[in-house]
Amino acid sequence: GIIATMTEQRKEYLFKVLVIGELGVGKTSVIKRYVHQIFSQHYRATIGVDFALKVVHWDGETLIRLQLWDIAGQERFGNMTRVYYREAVGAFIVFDATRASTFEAVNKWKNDLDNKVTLPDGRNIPTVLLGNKIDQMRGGLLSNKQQMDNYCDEKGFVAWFETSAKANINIDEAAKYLIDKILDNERSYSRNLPDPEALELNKDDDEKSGCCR
Amino acid sequence: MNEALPDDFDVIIIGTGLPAAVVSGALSRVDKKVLHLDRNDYYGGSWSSFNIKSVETFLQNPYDSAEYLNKDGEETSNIEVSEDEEFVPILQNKNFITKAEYSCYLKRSEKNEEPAQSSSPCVDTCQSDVVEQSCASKPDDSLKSGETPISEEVQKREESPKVENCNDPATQGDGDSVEKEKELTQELDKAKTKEKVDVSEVVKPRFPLSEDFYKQWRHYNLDLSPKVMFSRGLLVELLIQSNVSRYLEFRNVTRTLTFLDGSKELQRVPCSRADVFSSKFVSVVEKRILMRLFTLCANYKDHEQEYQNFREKTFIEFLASRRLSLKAQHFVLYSIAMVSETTSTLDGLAATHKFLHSLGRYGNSAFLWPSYGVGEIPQAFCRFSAVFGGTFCLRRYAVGFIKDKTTGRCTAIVDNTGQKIRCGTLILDDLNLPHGANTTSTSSVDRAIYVIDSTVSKSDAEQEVSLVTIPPMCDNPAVRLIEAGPLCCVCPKNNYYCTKKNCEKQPKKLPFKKNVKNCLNLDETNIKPEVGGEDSQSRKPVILWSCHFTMTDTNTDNSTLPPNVITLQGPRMDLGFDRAMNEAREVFLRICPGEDFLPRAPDPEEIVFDEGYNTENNDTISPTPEDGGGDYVEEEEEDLNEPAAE
Repeated sequence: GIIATMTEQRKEYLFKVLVIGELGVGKTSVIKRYVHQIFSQHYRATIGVDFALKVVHWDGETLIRLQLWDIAGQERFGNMTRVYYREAVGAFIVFDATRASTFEAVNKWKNDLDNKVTLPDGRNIPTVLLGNKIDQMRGGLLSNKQQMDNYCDEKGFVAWFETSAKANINIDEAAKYLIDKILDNERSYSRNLPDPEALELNKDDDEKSGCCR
Repeated sequence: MNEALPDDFDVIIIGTGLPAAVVSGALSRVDKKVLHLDRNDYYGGSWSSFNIKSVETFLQNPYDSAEYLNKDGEETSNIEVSEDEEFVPILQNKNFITKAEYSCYLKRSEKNEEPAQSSSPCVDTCQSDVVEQSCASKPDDSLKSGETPISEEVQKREESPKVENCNDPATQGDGDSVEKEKELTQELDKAKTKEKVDVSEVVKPRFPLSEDFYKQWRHYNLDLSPKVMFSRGLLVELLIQSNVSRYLEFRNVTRTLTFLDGSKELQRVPCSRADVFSSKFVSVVEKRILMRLFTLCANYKDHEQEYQNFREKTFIEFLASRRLSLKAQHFVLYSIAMVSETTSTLDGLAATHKFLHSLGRYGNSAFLWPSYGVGEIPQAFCRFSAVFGGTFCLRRYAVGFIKDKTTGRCTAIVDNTGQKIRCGTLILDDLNLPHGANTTSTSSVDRAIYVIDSTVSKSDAEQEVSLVTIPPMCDNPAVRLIEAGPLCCVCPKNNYYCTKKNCEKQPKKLPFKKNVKNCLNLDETNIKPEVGGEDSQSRKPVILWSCHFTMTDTNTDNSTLPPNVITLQGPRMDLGFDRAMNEAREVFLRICPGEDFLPRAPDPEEIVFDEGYNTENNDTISPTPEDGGGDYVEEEEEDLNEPAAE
């Protein structure tokens, strides 16, 4: 998942981040807001796109390519393939703060995530909980901050944020928090580079001298 | 997940085996509305790969216990159909895995012997403890220099040389060997118990304890249907052409090994020009003869005169006529063409050509191996289908379909929640059988998976994947074995893993297991703790864990089904994927005549947007400077992602 390239002082990372949650909680909106700085009430599930890419100039020396993997429009019944989970290094689990049922499903999504993917050292990938559509809140689910903190501790979320993709609340902050955690992990163990010998089918040896080596 | 599904689709596909997944991806790619269901909670059906835990669960019970209808499909009274409709039940194929068993030969620690093995502690420890064992993250160097035994996966497949002719569903007549196996296992159990006593004081056991072995359950990807990809086979071409390859990683099959008559050692088969020239087992004269043969096979269609007289004869007779030594004939027949003694000259030439044609495209090899196992391939196509709009739902399947009596066509399915879903075409994979259709068992394969602690044949260079062919010996069927190393992400670092398969043509002969174990010097009774110091170069590989099962392929006669119900075949015994890919393409073209089969999908990188960015308030996170590519995100009124509150 992560390609860390060192060119002189500059570090480049490629991070795969999953965006998970029930249907209609605004996963795609969050991604669009973050990646494209736009919010639209009217778009359909993205067709033919695996992930949205955001290039983040983290600091003078660090460039991060963030792949945000949405649940492909129609894997919405919660049955993503291993292809989706493999080599992810962080995740957002999104719920709709105005709909309690989407919060109840958070636990299921978190368990599923922890079952399907871990960091190379076996720990769970850092996951941030997003209570989205906060702009529509009246009273609402998130009033008890202490309770949310406890919930996150208990379930193993690194943090939670109240967000609104529509009103652009806390999206950047949440992303920044997650990237920070991912970078911490990067530093906490020496990352193995992807095996240089892993084959890419599109680059065959035809042009070379064939079978002599 | 019992939400209602949309209730009208162009195509409904039941089962996520490889051909089904490919068809699904191809249909979604050309904007067909596809619903894809699978009764299991995993993808891939008979093409799946499992970790140690899930494979044990699977082998204990390969079938869903909850069947909607009774065995005879009679209990259909609760399905409402009108008078001019008929309900046709779809049943689970319960013949596909039989005679399943597994054993772990490792000891448990003394102190943990009392409390029964519990799986949950394993998970915890796995997450905190097993970092160093992850084969996925190990750099090459440490493997080469490591003092610990290098881990490899061995996939071993035994099969009869007469694969195509093998019509016996190997269920009968095998009682003997099963009994023998049982005895053997019991003896082993006894032996194990004895050893436990002897051995308790030894400090550094050579083998891990069983609980440590199971702690790494997650790192295994064991194939139900091990196969390798011809580098120029249809699957590789399709993956490249469609861009589905972006979901997959591959390894080279770095060597081909075989036994020569009378030899106890595995020998490397010289396949390429370079191999032939450097081989120690081939004399100078033979080298020239072999090279000439390879040159001919590479263009055999242009040189008919060379084999004109052998059209009616077998390939082996043809090889003999080329003055190939027995050894060289053996290499060509079993390890390069991978055909049998009865194969015709033309078929043998075609098989050799196919091999040579694939050689050298990716490294010095004719084959590729999918990292994480064969089970990744159907998943890649399923993801592709989902990304292009296919609707996927696991643990959901068709209990039957509704047939219009007037048109004779299938109009809808009834799923296991009772929902009626309309479809233009219904596709069933090999694990879903329409009631009343003629089915025949086409072939039966014995397969085994071994986790072993060292490679079956040591070599100087690190081997990624080895393909081992064991020719038929003393009336035993031929064996094909695939050994995949730790770089292939199929096993943790300190174990080997192998699967084998066998077409049980002659069930009365030496039991399959014993045959293979003898050939490869594999022996689970060797499991006893030893205190280091042993010459790791010379010792035999030891089986730590094994499983055996018989897989039977079922062929459904489509002619008895409505014209818009299509059944797909199972994995069969082919080494490669060409048959499955051909089948998928034919099915696709039947549904979408003249349409493009899996045209290239855009890379995500081509769909980067930069419009609408602004950087004003953002010092640390700033937008991409990259140019945007094509705009594949459609904005429409339809709003699937943001429905009103329920």
